[in-house]
Amino acid sequence: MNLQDLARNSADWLSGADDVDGIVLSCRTRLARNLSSSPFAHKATEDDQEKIIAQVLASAKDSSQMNSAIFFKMNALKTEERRLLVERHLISPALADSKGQRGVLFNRNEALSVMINEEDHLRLQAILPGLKALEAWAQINALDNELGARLDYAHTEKWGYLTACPTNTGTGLRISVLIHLPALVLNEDMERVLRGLTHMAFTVRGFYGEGTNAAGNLFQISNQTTLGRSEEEIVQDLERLTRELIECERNAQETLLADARSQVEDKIWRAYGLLSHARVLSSQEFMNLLSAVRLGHTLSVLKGISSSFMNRLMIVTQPSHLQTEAGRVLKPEERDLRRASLVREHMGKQVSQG
Amino acid sequence: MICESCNKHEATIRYTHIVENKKKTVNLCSSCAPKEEDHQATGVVTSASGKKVVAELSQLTAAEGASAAQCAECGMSYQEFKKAGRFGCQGCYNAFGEQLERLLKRIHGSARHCGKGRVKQRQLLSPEEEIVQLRQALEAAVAEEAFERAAELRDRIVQLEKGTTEESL
Repeated sequence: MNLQDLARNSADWLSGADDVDGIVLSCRTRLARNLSSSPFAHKATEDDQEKIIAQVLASAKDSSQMNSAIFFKMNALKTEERRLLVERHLISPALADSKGQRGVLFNRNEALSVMINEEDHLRLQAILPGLKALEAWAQINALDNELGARLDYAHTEKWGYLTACPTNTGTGLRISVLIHLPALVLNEDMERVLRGLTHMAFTVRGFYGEGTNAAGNLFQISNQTTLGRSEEEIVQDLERLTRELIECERNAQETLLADARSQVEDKIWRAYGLLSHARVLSSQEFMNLLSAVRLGHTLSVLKGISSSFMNRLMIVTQPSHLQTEAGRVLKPEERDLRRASLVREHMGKQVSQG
Repeated sequence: MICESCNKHEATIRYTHIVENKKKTVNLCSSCAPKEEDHQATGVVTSASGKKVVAELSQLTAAEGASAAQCAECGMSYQEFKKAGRFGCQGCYNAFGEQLERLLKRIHGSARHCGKGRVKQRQLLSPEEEIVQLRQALEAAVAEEAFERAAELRDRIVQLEKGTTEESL
Protein backbone atom coordinates (compact mmCIF):
# COMPACT_ATOMS: atom_id res chain seq x y z
CA MET A 1 0.00 0.00 0.00
CA ASN A 2 1.44 3.39 -0.90
CA LEU A 3 0.48 6.60 0.84
CA GLN A 4 -1.86 7.76 -1.88
CA ASP A 5 -3.87 4.54 -1.47
CA LEU A 6 -3.77 5.05 2.26
CA ALA A 7 -5.15 8.60 1.92
CA ARG A 8 -8.11 7.20 -0.02
CA ASN A 9 -8.60 4.24 2.26
CA SER A 10 -11.56 4.35 4.58
CA ALA A 11 -10.46 3.21 8.02
CA ASP A 12 -12.85 0.86 9.81
CA TRP A 13 -13.19 3.18 12.78
CA LEU A 14 -14.91 5.79 10.60
CA SER A 15 -17.82 3.46 9.83
CA GLY A 16 -20.18 5.11 12.31
CA ALA A 17 -21.29 1.76 13.74
CA ASP A 18 -22.70 1.92 17.29
CA ASP A 19 -22.01 5.64 17.48
CA VAL A 20 -25.16 6.59 19.44
CA ASP A 21 -26.69 8.76 16.68
CA GLY A 22 -23.35 10.33 15.88
CA ILE A 23 -22.43 11.34 19.43
CA VAL A 24 -19.54 8.94 20.14
CA LEU A 25 -17.42 8.70 17.02
CA SER A 26 -14.80 6.25 18.16
CA CYS A 27 -13.09 4.52 21.05
CA ARG A 28 -9.38 3.98 21.25
CA THR A 29 -7.12 1.97 23.55
CA ARG A 30 -3.37 2.12 23.71
CA LEU A 31 -0.80 0.16 25.70
CA ALA A 32 2.72 1.36 26.46
CA ARG A 33 5.29 -1.44 26.53
CA ASN A 34 9.08 -1.64 26.70
CA LEU A 35 11.61 -4.38 26.14
CA SER A 36 13.80 -5.17 29.11
CA SER A 37 16.83 -5.67 26.85
CA SER A 38 17.33 -2.00 26.02
CA PRO A 39 17.21 1.46 27.63
CA PHE A 40 14.02 3.39 26.91
CA ALA A 41 13.70 4.80 23.39
CA HIS A 42 15.09 8.26 24.14
CA LYS A 43 18.24 6.78 25.73
CA ALA A 44 18.67 3.95 23.25
CA THR A 45 21.37 4.16 20.57
CA GLU A 46 20.30 3.92 16.94
CA ASP A 47 21.66 0.37 16.99
CA ASP A 48 19.42 -0.50 19.94
CA GLN A 49 16.48 1.14 18.18
CA GLU A 50 17.13 -0.90 15.02
CA LYS A 51 17.18 -4.09 17.07
CA ILE A 52 13.92 -3.16 18.76
CA ILE A 53 12.26 -2.56 15.40
CA ALA A 54 13.52 -5.94 14.15
CA GLN A 55 12.23 -7.73 17.24
CA VAL A 56 8.81 -6.09 17.10
CA LEU A 57 8.47 -6.84 13.38
CA ALA A 58 9.44 -10.47 13.97
CA SER A 59 6.88 -10.85 16.75
CA ALA A 60 4.19 -9.22 14.57
CA LYS A 61 5.00 -11.55 11.69
CA ASP A 62 4.50 -14.43 14.08
CA SER A 63 1.14 -13.14 15.37
CA SER A 64 -2.26 -14.00 13.97
CA GLN A 65 -3.48 -10.41 14.11
CA MET A 66 -0.67 -8.44 12.51
CA ASN A 67 1.16 -10.93 10.29
CA SER A 68 0.29 -8.98 7.16
CA ALA A 69 0.60 -5.51 8.64
CA ILE A 70 2.15 -2.61 6.73
CA PHE A 71 5.35 -1.07 8.10
CA PHE A 72 6.65 2.44 7.53
CA LYS A 73 9.97 3.64 8.83
CA MET A 74 9.85 7.28 9.85
CA ASN A 75 13.19 8.33 8.36
CA ALA A 76 12.14 6.92 4.99
CA LEU A 77 9.15 9.27 4.85
CA LYS A 78 8.94 12.93 3.95
CA THR A 79 7.51 15.39 6.48
CA GLU A 80 4.28 15.61 4.48
CA GLU A 81 3.90 11.84 4.44
CA ARG A 82 4.33 11.66 8.18
CA ARG A 83 1.67 14.35 8.62
CA LEU A 84 -0.69 12.15 6.64
CA LEU A 85 -0.17 9.34 9.15
CA VAL A 86 -0.82 11.80 11.99
CA GLU A 87 -4.04 12.94 10.34
CA ARG A 88 -5.16 9.31 10.15
CA HIS A 89 -4.41 8.91 13.87
CA LEU A 90 -1.92 6.15 13.11
CA ILE A 91 1.03 7.98 14.65
CA SER A 92 1.45 10.78 17.17
CA PRO A 93 2.86 14.19 16.22
CA ALA A 94 5.77 13.33 18.54
CA LEU A 95 6.68 10.27 16.47
CA ALA A 96 6.37 12.24 13.24
CA ASP A 97 8.83 14.86 14.46
CA SER A 98 11.49 12.79 16.19
CA LYS A 99 14.80 11.66 14.79
CA GLY A 100 16.36 8.22 15.02
CA GLN A 101 15.10 4.76 14.10
CA ARG A 102 11.36 4.78 14.55
CA GLY A 103 8.39 3.42 12.72
CA VAL A 104 4.79 2.35 12.63
CA LEU A 105 3.12 -0.92 11.84
CA PHE A 106 -0.59 -1.09 11.07
CA ASN A 107 -3.25 -3.24 9.55
CA ARG A 108 -4.92 -2.33 6.29
CA ASN A 109 -8.22 -1.54 8.01
CA GLU A 110 -6.27 0.68 10.45
CA ALA A 111 -7.93 -0.90 13.49
CA LEU A 112 -4.67 -2.10 15.03
CA SER A 113 -1.36 -0.29 14.96
CA VAL A 114 1.96 -0.27 16.77
CA MET A 115 4.26 2.73 17.01
CA ILE A 116 7.84 1.60 17.52
CA ASN A 117 10.31 3.74 19.48
CA GLU A 118 8.00 6.59 20.29
CA GLU A 119 8.27 7.52 23.98
CA ASP A 120 8.09 3.79 24.73
CA HIS A 121 9.49 0.96 22.61
CA LEU A 122 5.95 -0.08 21.71
CA ARG A 123 2.71 1.81 21.70
CA LEU A 124 -0.05 -0.60 20.73
CA GLN A 125 -3.30 0.96 19.54
CA ALA A 126 -6.76 -0.37 18.79
CA ILE A 127 -9.37 2.00 17.42
CA LEU A 128 -13.01 1.08 16.90
CA PRO A 129 -16.10 2.95 15.76
CA GLY A 130 -18.64 4.03 18.36
CA LEU A 131 -18.59 3.24 22.05
CA LYS A 132 -17.14 -0.27 22.12
CA ALA A 133 -14.84 0.24 25.07
CA LEU A 134 -14.69 -3.35 26.27
CA GLU A 135 -14.08 -4.64 22.78
CA ALA A 136 -11.35 -2.06 22.21
CA TRP A 137 -9.70 -3.35 25.39
CA ALA A 138 -10.19 -7.00 24.41
CA GLN A 139 -8.55 -6.41 21.03
CA ILE A 140 -5.53 -4.58 22.36
CA ASN A 141 -5.15 -7.14 25.15
CA ALA A 142 -5.15 -10.00 22.65
CA LEU A 143 -2.56 -8.27 20.47
CA ASP A 144 -0.45 -7.56 23.56
CA ASN A 145 -0.53 -11.24 24.51
CA GLU A 146 0.54 -12.28 21.05
CA LEU A 147 3.37 -9.78 20.68
CA GLY A 148 4.42 -10.20 24.31
CA ALA A 149 4.78 -13.95 23.86
CA ARG A 150 7.90 -13.29 21.80
CA LEU A 151 9.10 -10.09 23.45
CA ASP A 152 10.56 -9.74 26.91
CA TYR A 153 8.54 -6.85 28.35
CA ALA A 154 9.85 -4.74 31.22
CA HIS A 155 7.48 -5.63 34.05
CA THR A 156 7.54 -6.02 37.83
CA GLU A 157 4.95 -7.42 40.21
CA LYS A 158 4.80 -4.23 42.18
CA TRP A 159 4.75 -1.57 39.48
CA GLY A 160 3.38 -3.53 36.55
CA TYR A 161 4.60 -2.47 33.11
CA LEU A 162 7.55 -0.10 33.30
CA THR A 163 7.27 2.89 31.01
CA ALA A 164 9.55 5.80 30.14
CA CYS A 165 7.19 8.28 31.78
CA PRO A 166 5.83 7.56 35.27
CA THR A 167 2.38 8.80 34.17
CA ASN A 168 1.98 5.54 32.21
CA THR A 169 3.47 3.12 34.73
CA GLY A 170 1.37 0.12 35.71
CA THR A 171 -1.18 -0.86 33.11
CA GLY A 172 0.29 1.45 30.45
CA LEU A 173 -3.31 1.73 29.32
CA ARG A 174 -4.88 4.87 27.96
CA ILE A 175 -8.44 4.55 26.75
CA SER A 176 -10.21 7.44 25.07
CA VAL A 177 -13.46 8.24 23.35
CA LEU A 178 -13.98 10.87 20.68
CA ILE A 179 -17.26 12.52 21.54
CA HIS A 180 -19.34 15.27 19.90
CA LEU A 181 -20.92 17.63 22.44
CA PRO A 182 -22.42 20.58 20.53
CA ALA A 183 -25.40 21.29 22.78
CA LEU A 184 -23.29 21.32 25.94
CA VAL A 185 -20.95 23.80 24.26
CA LEU A 186 -23.86 25.95 23.00
CA ASN A 187 -25.47 26.00 26.44
CA GLU A 188 -22.10 26.99 27.90
CA ASP A 189 -22.22 23.98 30.18
CA MET A 190 -18.95 22.58 28.93
CA GLU A 191 -16.70 24.41 31.43
CA ARG A 192 -18.61 22.89 34.31
CA VAL A 193 -18.61 19.41 32.77
CA LEU A 194 -14.87 19.64 32.07
CA ARG A 195 -14.10 20.65 35.64
CA GLY A 196 -16.08 17.66 36.88
CA LEU A 197 -14.19 15.30 34.57
CA THR A 198 -10.78 16.54 35.62
CA HIS A 199 -11.83 16.08 39.20
CA MET A 200 -12.64 12.44 38.46
CA ALA A 201 -9.15 11.78 37.02
CA PHE A 202 -10.15 12.05 33.39
CA THR A 203 -8.45 14.25 30.84
CA VAL A 204 -10.20 16.21 28.11
CA ARG A 205 -8.46 17.23 24.91
CA GLY A 206 -9.40 18.56 21.51
CA PHE A 207 -9.56 16.44 18.36
CA TYR A 208 -5.92 17.10 17.54
CA GLY A 209 -4.68 16.07 20.97
CA GLU A 210 -2.97 17.71 23.87
CA GLY A 211 -3.21 21.49 24.17
CA THR A 212 -5.61 21.98 21.28
CA ASN A 213 -9.04 23.57 21.24
CA ALA A 214 -12.00 21.38 20.54
CA ALA A 215 -12.45 21.93 16.81
CA GLY A 216 -16.01 21.20 15.75
CA ASN A 217 -17.13 20.50 19.34
CA LEU A 218 -15.24 17.21 19.33
CA PHE A 219 -13.60 16.16 22.58
CA GLN A 220 -11.28 13.33 23.48
CA ILE A 221 -11.88 12.02 26.97
CA SER A 222 -9.32 9.67 28.49
CA ASN A 223 -8.19 8.21 31.81
CA GLN A 224 -5.48 10.12 33.64
CA THR A 225 -4.09 7.40 35.88
CA THR A 226 -2.70 3.98 35.05
CA LEU A 227 -1.67 2.60 38.42
CA GLY A 228 -3.79 1.18 41.25
CA ARG A 229 -6.73 0.00 39.19
CA SER A 230 -7.11 -2.92 36.83
CA GLU A 231 -7.54 -2.46 33.09
CA GLU A 232 -11.17 -3.62 33.29
CA GLU A 233 -11.95 -1.05 35.98
CA ILE A 234 -10.36 1.74 33.94
CA VAL A 235 -12.31 0.71 30.85
CA GLN A 236 -15.61 0.39 32.69
CA ASP A 237 -15.14 3.75 34.41
CA LEU A 238 -14.60 5.46 31.08
CA GLU A 239 -17.59 3.74 29.54
CA ARG A 240 -19.84 4.67 32.47
CA LEU A 241 -18.67 8.25 32.36
CA THR A 242 -19.19 8.42 28.60
CA ARG A 243 -22.76 7.20 29.01
CA GLU A 244 -23.35 9.94 31.57
CA LEU A 245 -21.92 12.51 29.19
CA ILE A 246 -24.20 11.26 26.42
CA GLU A 247 -27.13 11.69 28.80
CA CYS A 248 -26.04 15.28 29.61
CA GLU A 249 -25.67 16.06 25.91
CA ARG A 250 -29.11 14.59 25.13
CA ASN A 251 -30.68 16.69 27.88
CA ALA A 252 -28.94 19.80 26.63
CA GLN A 253 -30.20 19.04 23.11
CA GLU A 254 -33.75 18.73 24.38
CA THR A 255 -33.48 22.02 26.23
CA LEU A 256 -32.18 23.66 23.08
CA LEU A 257 -35.04 22.33 20.99
CA ALA A 258 -37.63 23.28 23.60
CA ASP A 259 -36.29 26.84 23.85
CA ALA A 260 -35.41 27.58 20.27
CA ARG A 261 -36.36 24.86 17.81
CA SER A 262 -36.55 27.14 14.77
CA GLN A 263 -33.19 28.75 15.45
CA VAL A 264 -31.53 25.35 15.94
CA GLU A 265 -33.05 23.97 12.75
CA ASP A 266 -32.06 27.12 10.90
CA LYS A 267 -28.46 26.78 12.11
CA ILE A 268 -28.35 23.17 10.92
CA TRP A 269 -29.83 23.89 7.49
CA ARG A 270 -27.62 26.92 6.98
CA ALA A 271 -24.56 24.80 7.75
CA TYR A 272 -25.79 22.23 5.28
CA GLY A 273 -26.29 24.94 2.67
CA LEU A 274 -22.82 26.38 3.18
CA LEU A 275 -21.11 22.99 2.98
CA SER A 276 -23.03 22.23 -0.21
CA HIS A 277 -22.23 25.49 -1.95
CA ALA A 278 -19.24 27.28 -0.40
CA ARG A 279 -16.28 27.98 -2.69
CA VAL A 280 -13.71 28.61 0.08
CA LEU A 281 -13.59 26.64 3.33
CA SER A 282 -10.94 26.90 6.03
CA SER A 283 -10.53 23.81 8.19
CA GLN A 284 -11.87 25.67 11.20
CA GLU A 285 -15.02 26.77 9.38
CA PHE A 286 -15.46 23.31 7.90
CA MET A 287 -15.25 21.64 11.31
CA ASN A 288 -17.79 24.07 12.78
CA LEU A 289 -20.25 23.58 9.93
CA LEU A 290 -19.79 19.82 10.06
CA SER A 291 -20.58 19.94 13.78
CA ALA A 292 -23.93 21.62 13.03
CA VAL A 293 -24.70 19.04 10.34
CA ARG A 294 -23.76 16.25 12.74
CA LEU A 295 -26.14 17.73 15.30
CA GLY A 296 -28.77 17.71 12.56
CA HIS A 297 -28.14 14.00 12.09
CA THR A 298 -28.35 13.29 15.84
CA LEU A 299 -31.62 15.24 16.12
CA SER A 300 -33.01 13.63 12.94
CA VAL A 301 -33.46 17.11 11.47
CA LEU A 302 -31.26 16.13 8.53
CA LYS A 303 -31.89 12.75 7.02
CA GLY A 304 -29.78 11.01 4.43
CA ILE A 305 -26.45 12.18 5.83
CA SER A 306 -24.74 9.30 7.54
CA SER A 307 -22.11 9.28 10.27
CA SER A 308 -19.66 7.37 8.12
CA PHE A 309 -20.01 10.03 5.42
CA MET A 310 -19.25 12.83 7.88
CA ASN A 311 -16.40 10.94 9.53
CA ARG A 312 -14.69 10.25 6.23
CA LEU A 313 -15.15 13.81 5.08
CA MET A 314 -13.53 15.00 8.29
CA ILE A 315 -10.43 12.91 7.52
CA VAL A 316 -10.00 13.63 3.80
CA THR A 317 -10.35 17.41 4.14
CA GLN A 318 -7.29 17.70 6.40
CA PRO A 319 -4.28 19.52 4.90
CA SER A 320 -1.99 16.55 4.24
CA HIS A 321 -4.85 14.54 2.76
CA LEU A 322 -5.66 17.36 0.34
CA GLN A 323 -1.98 17.62 -0.59
CA THR A 324 -1.55 13.89 -1.09
CA GLU A 325 -4.56 13.90 -3.38
CA ALA A 326 -3.19 16.90 -5.29
CA GLY A 327 0.25 15.28 -5.50
CA ARG A 328 2.00 18.47 -4.38
CA VAL A 329 2.33 20.95 -1.53
CA LEU A 330 -0.57 23.41 -1.50
CA LYS A 331 -0.71 26.93 -0.16
CA PRO A 332 -3.35 27.49 2.53
CA GLU A 333 -5.54 29.44 0.06
CA GLU A 334 -5.33 26.58 -2.41
CA ARG A 335 -6.25 24.11 0.27
CA ASP A 336 -9.33 26.12 1.22
CA LEU A 337 -10.46 26.06 -2.41
CA ARG A 338 -9.83 22.36 -2.77
CA ARG A 339 -11.46 21.61 0.55
CA ALA A 340 -14.61 23.46 -0.51
CA SER A 341 -14.71 21.72 -3.86
CA LEU A 342 -14.18 18.27 -2.33
CA VAL A 343 -16.91 18.87 0.25
CA ARG A 344 -19.31 20.15 -2.46
CA GLU A 345 -18.65 17.13 -4.62
CA HIS A 346 -19.26 14.71 -1.74
CA MET A 347 -22.34 16.55 -0.47
CA GLY A 348 -23.78 16.38 -3.99
CA LYS A 349 -23.29 12.62 -4.13
CA GLN A 350 -24.72 12.13 -0.67
CA VAL A 351 -27.91 14.03 -1.54
CA SER A 352 -28.46 12.11 -4.75
CA GLN A 353 -28.08 8.87 -2.77
CA GLY A 354 -30.27 10.03 0.11
CA MET B 1 -5.06 33.45 9.86
CA ILE B 2 -1.29 32.97 9.66
CA CYS B 3 0.65 30.77 12.07
CA GLU B 4 2.23 32.85 14.84
CA SER B 5 5.26 30.60 15.04
CA CYS B 6 6.49 30.27 11.44
CA ASN B 7 4.51 33.19 9.96
CA LYS B 8 4.21 31.16 6.78
CA HIS B 9 1.46 28.59 6.96
CA GLU B 10 -2.22 28.82 7.72
CA ALA B 11 -2.97 28.55 11.44
CA THR B 12 -5.32 25.63 11.96
CA ILE B 13 -4.83 24.97 15.66
CA ARG B 14 -5.49 27.23 18.61
CA TYR B 15 -2.91 26.21 21.10
CA THR B 16 -3.28 27.01 24.77
CA HIS B 17 -0.50 26.52 27.26
CA ILE B 18 0.44 27.70 30.69
CA VAL B 19 3.51 29.90 31.05
CA GLU B 20 4.41 30.91 34.59
CA ASN B 21 0.85 30.34 35.72
CA LYS B 22 -0.57 32.52 32.94
CA LYS B 23 -2.75 31.08 30.21
CA LYS B 24 -1.34 31.87 26.81
CA THR B 25 -3.12 31.19 23.53
CA VAL B 26 -1.42 31.16 20.15
CA ASN B 27 -2.64 30.28 16.67
CA LEU B 28 -0.38 27.76 14.99
CA CYS B 29 -0.22 25.74 11.80
CA SER B 30 -0.28 21.97 12.10
CA SER B 31 3.46 21.59 11.64
CA CYS B 32 4.35 24.16 14.31
CA ALA B 33 1.87 23.00 16.96
CA PRO B 34 3.64 19.78 17.96
CA LYS B 35 7.02 21.49 17.72
CA GLU B 36 5.97 23.96 20.37
CA GLU B 37 4.82 21.15 22.56
CA ASP B 38 7.16 18.28 22.09
CA HIS B 39 10.65 19.54 21.57
CA GLN B 40 13.29 20.73 23.89
CA ALA B 41 16.39 22.43 22.60
CA THR B 42 18.01 19.01 22.27
CA GLY B 43 15.38 17.74 19.87
CA VAL B 44 14.32 15.12 22.39
CA VAL B 45 10.63 14.41 22.64
CA THR B 46 8.98 15.57 25.85
CA SER B 47 5.32 14.89 26.19
CA ALA B 48 3.01 17.22 28.07
CA SER B 49 2.61 14.46 30.63
CA GLY B 50 6.38 14.54 31.02
CA LYS B 51 6.06 18.17 31.96
CA LYS B 52 3.47 17.27 34.56
CA VAL B 53 5.95 14.84 36.09
CA VAL B 54 8.61 17.54 36.19
CA ALA B 55 6.18 19.82 38.04
CA GLU B 56 5.24 17.08 40.52
CA LEU B 57 8.89 16.26 41.07
CA SER B 58 9.94 19.80 41.80
CA GLN B 59 7.20 20.04 44.43
CA LEU B 60 8.22 16.74 45.97
CA THR B 61 11.93 17.36 46.11
CA ALA B 62 11.64 20.92 47.34
CA ALA B 63 10.55 19.41 50.65
CA GLU B 64 13.08 16.60 50.91
CA GLY B 65 16.31 18.10 49.56
CA ALA B 66 18.58 16.72 46.85
CA SER B 67 19.03 13.02 46.24
CA ALA B 68 22.30 11.58 44.97
CA ALA B 69 20.69 8.41 43.60
CA GLN B 70 21.96 7.22 40.24
CA CYS B 71 20.89 4.33 38.02
CA ALA B 72 23.65 1.72 37.74
CA GLU B 73 22.28 0.43 34.43
CA CYS B 74 21.98 3.56 32.28
CA GLY B 75 23.79 6.10 34.43
CA MET B 76 20.84 8.49 34.74
CA SER B 77 20.98 10.50 37.95
CA TYR B 78 17.93 11.44 39.97
CA GLN B 79 18.68 15.08 39.12
CA GLU B 80 18.54 14.29 35.40
CA PHE B 81 15.30 12.40 35.87
CA LYS B 82 13.90 15.40 37.72
CA LYS B 83 14.69 17.61 34.74
CA ALA B 84 13.45 15.29 31.99
CA GLY B 85 10.50 13.71 33.79
CA ARG B 86 11.33 10.42 32.13
CA PHE B 87 13.35 7.38 33.16
CA GLY B 88 16.38 6.24 31.19
CA CYS B 89 15.74 2.52 31.52
CA GLN B 90 13.86 0.00 33.61
CA GLY B 91 16.74 -0.03 36.12
CA CYS B 92 15.88 3.58 37.09
CA TYR B 93 12.73 2.27 38.75
CA ASN B 94 14.85 0.45 41.31
CA ALA B 95 17.49 3.12 41.59
CA PHE B 96 14.95 5.83 42.44
CA GLY B 97 12.67 3.48 44.36
CA GLU B 98 12.18 5.48 47.52
CA GLN B 99 11.32 8.79 45.87
CA LEU B 100 9.43 6.98 43.17
CA GLU B 101 6.95 5.49 45.61
CA ARG B 102 5.86 8.99 46.62
CA LEU B 103 5.87 10.31 43.08
CA LEU B 104 3.65 7.51 41.78
CA LYS B 105 1.25 8.06 44.66
CA ARG B 106 1.01 11.73 43.78
CA ILE B 107 0.37 11.04 40.12
CA HIS B 108 -1.91 8.02 40.37
CA GLY B 109 -3.20 8.06 43.92
CA SER B 110 -1.58 4.64 44.31
CA ALA B 111 1.83 3.06 43.99
CA ARG B 112 0.68 -0.51 43.50
CA HIS B 113 -0.10 -2.22 40.22
CA CYS B 114 -3.22 -4.35 40.29
CA GLY B 115 -3.72 -4.93 36.60
CA LYS B 116 -2.45 -7.34 34.02
CA GLY B 117 0.41 -9.62 35.00
CA ARG B 118 3.42 -10.51 32.92
CA VAL B 119 2.49 -11.71 29.43
CA LYS B 120 3.10 -15.41 29.16
CA GLN B 121 6.27 -16.03 27.21
CA ARG B 122 6.14 -18.61 24.52
CA GLN B 123 8.56 -21.43 25.18
CA LEU B 124 11.59 -20.54 23.16
CA LEU B 125 13.06 -23.35 21.10
CA SER B 126 16.74 -24.15 20.90
CA PRO B 127 18.20 -23.48 17.43
CA GLU B 128 18.41 -27.23 16.78
CA GLU B 129 14.74 -27.73 17.63
CA GLU B 130 13.77 -24.75 15.52
CA ILE B 131 15.72 -26.12 12.55
CA VAL B 132 13.80 -29.41 12.80
CA GLN B 133 10.49 -27.52 12.81
CA LEU B 134 11.55 -25.28 9.96
CA ARG B 135 12.59 -28.27 7.83
CA GLN B 136 9.13 -29.76 8.26
CA ALA B 137 7.53 -26.44 7.31
CA LEU B 138 9.86 -26.21 4.31
CA GLU B 139 8.80 -29.64 3.04
CA ALA B 140 5.17 -28.68 3.43
CA ALA B 141 5.73 -25.41 1.59
CA VAL B 142 7.47 -27.16 -1.30
CA ALA B 143 4.66 -29.72 -1.48
CA GLU B 144 2.16 -26.86 -1.70
CA GLU B 145 4.38 -25.13 -4.27
CA ALA B 146 4.48 -22.08 -2.03
CA PHE B 147 7.95 -21.19 -3.21
CA GLU B 148 8.18 -17.73 -1.77
CA ARG B 149 7.52 -19.07 1.72
CA ALA B 150 9.87 -21.98 1.05
CA ALA B 151 12.65 -19.56 0.16
CA GLU B 152 12.08 -17.58 3.35
CA LEU B 153 12.19 -20.79 5.41
CA ARG B 154 15.34 -21.97 3.68
CA ASP B 155 17.08 -18.65 4.38
CA ARG B 156 16.09 -18.88 8.04
CA ILE B 157 17.45 -22.45 8.26
CA VAL B 158 20.74 -21.44 6.66
CA GLN B 159 20.99 -18.54 9.09
CA LEU B 160 20.33 -20.78 12.09
CA GLU B 161 22.74 -23.48 10.92
CA LYS B 162 25.44 -20.87 10.53
CA GLY B 163 24.72 -19.67 14.06
CA THR B 164 24.94 -23.13 15.64
CA THR B 165 28.18 -24.13 13.90
CA GLU B 166 29.79 -20.82 14.84
CA GLU B 167 28.82 -21.42 18.43
CA SER B 168 30.18 -24.97 18.46
CA LEU B 169 33.53 -23.87 17.04
